[in-house]
Amino acid sequence: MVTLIPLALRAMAVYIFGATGDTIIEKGGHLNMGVPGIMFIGALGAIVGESLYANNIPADQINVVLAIIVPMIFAMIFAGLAGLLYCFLTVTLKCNQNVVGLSLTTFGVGFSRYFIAIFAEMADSNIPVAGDMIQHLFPNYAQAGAFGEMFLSGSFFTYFSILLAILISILFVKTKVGLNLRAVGENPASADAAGINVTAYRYIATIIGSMVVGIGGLTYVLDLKSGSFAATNDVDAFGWLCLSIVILSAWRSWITIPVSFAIGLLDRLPAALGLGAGPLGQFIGILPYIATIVVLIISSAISSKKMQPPAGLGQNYFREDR
Amino acid sequence: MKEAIRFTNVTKTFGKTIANKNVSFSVEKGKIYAILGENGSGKTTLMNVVAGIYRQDTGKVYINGKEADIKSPLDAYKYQVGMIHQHFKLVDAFTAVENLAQGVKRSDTPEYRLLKNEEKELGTLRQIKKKIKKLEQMVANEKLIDRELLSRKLKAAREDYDTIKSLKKSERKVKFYNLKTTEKRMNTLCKRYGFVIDPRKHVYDMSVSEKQTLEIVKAINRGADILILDEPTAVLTPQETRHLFDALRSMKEHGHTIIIITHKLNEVKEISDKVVILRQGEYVGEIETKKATISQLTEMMVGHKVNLAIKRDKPVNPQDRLIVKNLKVVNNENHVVVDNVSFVAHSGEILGVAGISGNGQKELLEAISGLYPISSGSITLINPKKNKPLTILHKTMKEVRKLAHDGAFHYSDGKRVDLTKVSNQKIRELVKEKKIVFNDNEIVDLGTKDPLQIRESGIHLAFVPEDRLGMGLVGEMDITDNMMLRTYKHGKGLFVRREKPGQLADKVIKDLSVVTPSKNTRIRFLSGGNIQKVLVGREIAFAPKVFMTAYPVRGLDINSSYAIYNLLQKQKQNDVAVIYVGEDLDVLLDLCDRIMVLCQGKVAGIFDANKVTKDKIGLLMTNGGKGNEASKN
Repeated sequence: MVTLIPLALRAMAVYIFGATGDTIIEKGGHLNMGVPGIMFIGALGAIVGESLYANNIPADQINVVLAIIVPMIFAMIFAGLAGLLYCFLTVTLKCNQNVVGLSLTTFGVGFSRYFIAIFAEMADSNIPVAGDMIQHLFPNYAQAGAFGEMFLSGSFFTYFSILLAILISILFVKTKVGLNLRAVGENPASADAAGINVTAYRYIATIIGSMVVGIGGLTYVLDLKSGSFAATNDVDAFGWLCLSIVILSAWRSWITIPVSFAIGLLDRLPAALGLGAGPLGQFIGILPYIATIVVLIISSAISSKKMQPPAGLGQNYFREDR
Repeated sequence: MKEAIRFTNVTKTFGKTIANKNVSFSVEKGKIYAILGENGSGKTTLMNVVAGIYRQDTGKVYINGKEADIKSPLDAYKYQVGMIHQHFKLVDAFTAVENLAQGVKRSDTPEYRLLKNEEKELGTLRQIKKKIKKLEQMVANEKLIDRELLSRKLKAAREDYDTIKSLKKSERKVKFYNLKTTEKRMNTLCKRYGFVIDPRKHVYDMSVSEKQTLEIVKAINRGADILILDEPTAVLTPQETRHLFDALRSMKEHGHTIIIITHKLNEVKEISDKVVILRQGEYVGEIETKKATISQLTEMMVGHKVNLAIKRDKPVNPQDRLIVKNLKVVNNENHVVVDNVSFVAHSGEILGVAGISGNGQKELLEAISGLYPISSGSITLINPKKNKPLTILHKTMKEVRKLAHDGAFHYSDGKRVDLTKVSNQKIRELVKEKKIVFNDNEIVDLGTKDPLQIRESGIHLAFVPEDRLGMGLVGEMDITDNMMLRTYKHGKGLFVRREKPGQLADKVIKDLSVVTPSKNTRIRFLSGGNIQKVLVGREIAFAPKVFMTAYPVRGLDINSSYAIYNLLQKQKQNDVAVIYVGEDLDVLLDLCDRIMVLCQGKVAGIFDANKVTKDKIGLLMTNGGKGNEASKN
């Protein structure tokens, strides 16, 4: 438990960012299959930012805050640009969302893997230093005993992700912007008739959502992989799970927290048990995916009116359409 | 006379189709206008130009005397124009209040408008401040003589300052996104105009009439002064229509300008002050409602005289055709939607089904055609075959042999048929020469059949749902392909054959005068009326025994409606049992021989159309004739 839960919390952060970001996108009516790709591009951005910062500064001058903020800015810009591309294709050019999303994933994964490999070769010894510094938000966590070991040993990202998911939930339910965004996702024609700028809302929601997804990629690199560039190969696997977490949490971003934690537990179980690459470890590694399928079957069988996806999900809006 | 809207030479085209051509007219403030025209006459397009859905290609629109550049619905609200579309623009997952609150901006609140109005009159805070300073200096200057007047002016200016300041303060205080305040405002609006609506109700739980009311409240809440309603009564019962008209009249009394798009002449007469008539996208004329007669309006609308009476022949030799007994259907939410329904449909007769939509009509028809599972009860088709020659179009040779074995046939000369030793080739010849005829009428228990078998046995359904394309047609496919949807199973070999469906498409286009560039046009691009004609035409083309049709004239203009009515009459003369589910009670009474009223899935009564009044049916539709014990499940 003491080893599993901290690991699960780290994985959870990646899932929460990815799923919350995708929730923002989907609430605006975009079924974004590009999330895995965007997350990978975000990870690439994080690596670029971290390289620029840590490689150019002596190891003893590295500042934790900057070591987080610089890569974060890069990850957000990179992922935001990917989101912008997606939006330009779907909102402005009215391309099919599934096709655009899937191509964005294919593109993002390949593009990022290529450049990450290059950056991994250039990385110098400062980067692990920076990575280690980020690992624990509360350095004195051990003083709180087993509870501290389990729940307070997380990084900045762990707690930030929880806070963000709750904030986004509040945004959706309690604010005018949230209401308007939900209206755009549910029935763009209605929102348009009510004077909401559908195009602007969709663009902004998708770009901001993509940025949050990008932070997921950043978390993956800096936190889960401790700033090691070479092992960043399966960001897209996390991205795909994020898509299903959104469905499992019924498009409510605060529910992504427990769901992500549960998936994180299953996900990190082999590592915590020290099973490594053995057949049992491999089998346990499948569990998150199997659990997803099972829960999806159950939730679709229940199909309550309150658990429905946004009604306009996946549909492009064209005002003069007949 | 004050103008609310003026059109000058407005033209709007979609590709090659001209929707509006040089339309010019003006709408008087504080009146109820009816825009009258057939389908495709450009009524809705023209109004959509004002509502910001479309932009005119050329021409200008003036609102309240000012030239209006309306690029979006948001702009339309700026000019205080609100439009209630035929397809409601409501978010199903939201409550009534949330629907009202979406998209509301600070500038939409009455407080903001009050402040801006006062500022226009008195000046902004800064301007008043300047003025006060100037006055103070002048008062301080002892050389000036009229200091009394100046100090009075100063006092007034200070008062103005306070007014604006307090207005600004109260405006700042308004939480414009606050469901509580929105709810309060909604309740006030409802009280003022006499609407009844529950603010906390989700839209998916609302009836059509409630949704419409919500749309109107929404528009007024956004400050709409000019209200445009696109065929508002198409989905309402007579009672609901009356309520709507009362509300519209009360809005007129409050100074709103109202424009109704419609093609129902009696409603035009009832509610409007003036009628504007469009034909084929062009402005034909306008007339004061009081001075107009129905036939005059029709003539202006259609361009020639139309006989408005539906000719109804007496049913010839009606026989039992479809017997429904104690039918019960339960939907997936476990609500009983068709409750113990029993009726008989006769051949050569039109059986009308009246009822508010959503009272089990759809489920009843679908249960008969096998698309909806039956909980209990029976549906029996009596297939008139006695002494009719056998066809083997829909039967396999195996089935024919089995039927012969069961003694279903005899030779036309009276001898028993024994096919055990006859070759397939020989049977085909016998059938071709019409030598084998049926012994008796075939009695089919439809409860045991699948939809395909039911259709093959001659029961055809043409259901026109609210969105027209929902059942039976595929919007992305052309007319030929849509014809083929019914017949592709008959073909042999790997590839489909398009000649026959193509011929059928040509026939339907010609017989029903479907307006389309060609039979290869995708259905989605046809106008609603033409889509309906294709659907109804296709189902009729298969020479049904029982023809069921629901809302076939939904949203159709007079000409097309009468074309459809005539088709139904023709079916009746062809000895078909027609079941017609309709909305317009006048038409039901004119067209049908008998009328069955459905209320909450139950039969509220079956009447001879000659011996029942519209009011009685309307009453039965709403409460089933049993007082007010209308309990919802």
